[in-house]
Amino acid sequence: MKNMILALKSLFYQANLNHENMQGTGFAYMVEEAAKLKGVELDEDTKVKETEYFHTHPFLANFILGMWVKEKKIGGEPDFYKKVYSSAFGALGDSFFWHSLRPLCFIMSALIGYNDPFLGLLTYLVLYNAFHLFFRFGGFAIGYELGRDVIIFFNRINFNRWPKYTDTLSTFMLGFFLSFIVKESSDFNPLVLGVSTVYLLAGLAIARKLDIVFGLILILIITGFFLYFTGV
Amino acid sequence: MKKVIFRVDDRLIHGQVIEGWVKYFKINHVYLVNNKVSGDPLQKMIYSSSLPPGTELTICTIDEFIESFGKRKQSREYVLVLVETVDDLYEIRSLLNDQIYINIGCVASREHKIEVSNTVFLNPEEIYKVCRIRDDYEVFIHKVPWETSVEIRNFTDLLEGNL
Repeated sequence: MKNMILALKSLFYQANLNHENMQGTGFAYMVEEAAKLKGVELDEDTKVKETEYFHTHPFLANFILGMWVKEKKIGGEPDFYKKVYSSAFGALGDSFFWHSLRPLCFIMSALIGYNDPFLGLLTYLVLYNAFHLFFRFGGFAIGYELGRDVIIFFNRINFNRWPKYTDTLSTFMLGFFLSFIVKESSDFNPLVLGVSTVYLLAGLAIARKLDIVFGLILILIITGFFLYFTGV
Repeated sequence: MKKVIFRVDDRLIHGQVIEGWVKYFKINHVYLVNNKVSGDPLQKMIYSSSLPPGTELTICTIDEFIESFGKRKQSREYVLVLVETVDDLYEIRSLLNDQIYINIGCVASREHKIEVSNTVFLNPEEIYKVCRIRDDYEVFIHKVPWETSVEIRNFTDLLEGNL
């Protein structure tokens, strides 16, 4: 139950996000209760010190909190590993939650919301928060259990590969969604669908090697030449 | 954009570096130049685990980097070199040239530091070192590629008593 309260409290963790100490105030806000939960007493100097600069992915902050309390309890190096993990979890969390999961949830939401907007909205909230809340609510216990080795948990689940898998699924679902719109919004025309698919695949292939904007410009130029020389 | 980027960032590998620089420029090789990280297997594992698959990571000390990077052959690959502090950048300044994009991304706020931008806080000694590097090469404050970069020109004023 106390773990649950801590996780709920962490929803306010970013309330004082600022350029000077970033999430430092949020970490200090959490740390006293987290330490008390595991029978660790903190002196005033430590509480003040924890307001110093700290920045990580907010959904993974509880892993660091658990690790910090464990290190403090065993007389390890809590602040040193707090800094190391803040960077690594910032990288892992931003890649997955901000840049991969959000687009996937949006596509799923658009697909389901095409017929029922309310259900689409609900899909977004449920899908996104299933991942968000799993990491937020499980983070402290896992961080405390593994201490400074908490990275093992992320290696075990191959977390740095999740963005790649999610992006692949997003691309597939986007193709499915676009095909669905083409089929739904006008008389079904296999030629339009075929041309759209070729455009999408060519765009993705060029974007992988070059750049998405450049890819688009290149495709438009090729199309222009094609239309010009075929007399369309 | 130049193919070789030297970046000062006290968070080393983090979200802005991965999403902002590694993925944006499709960087193939990241050098993490730091004496402390290089000597600690756990830190090495933590930083290696935070990179996306397909990106090569070399973690080395400043001396190892100076020795190996000088001998590096010209390549078409994008390379990102991360150092933690301005002091570290100053130590490897012999490797700098006009083909390298020098960028200060994030240096956290500490006591007695001056706010240079909203993510870069430097003390007078660090400002002095940036000025020395800037005498020969352009130095930019640049958080992420899609934001405007700021070229550092006016630090000398700061050193002349306007701190």
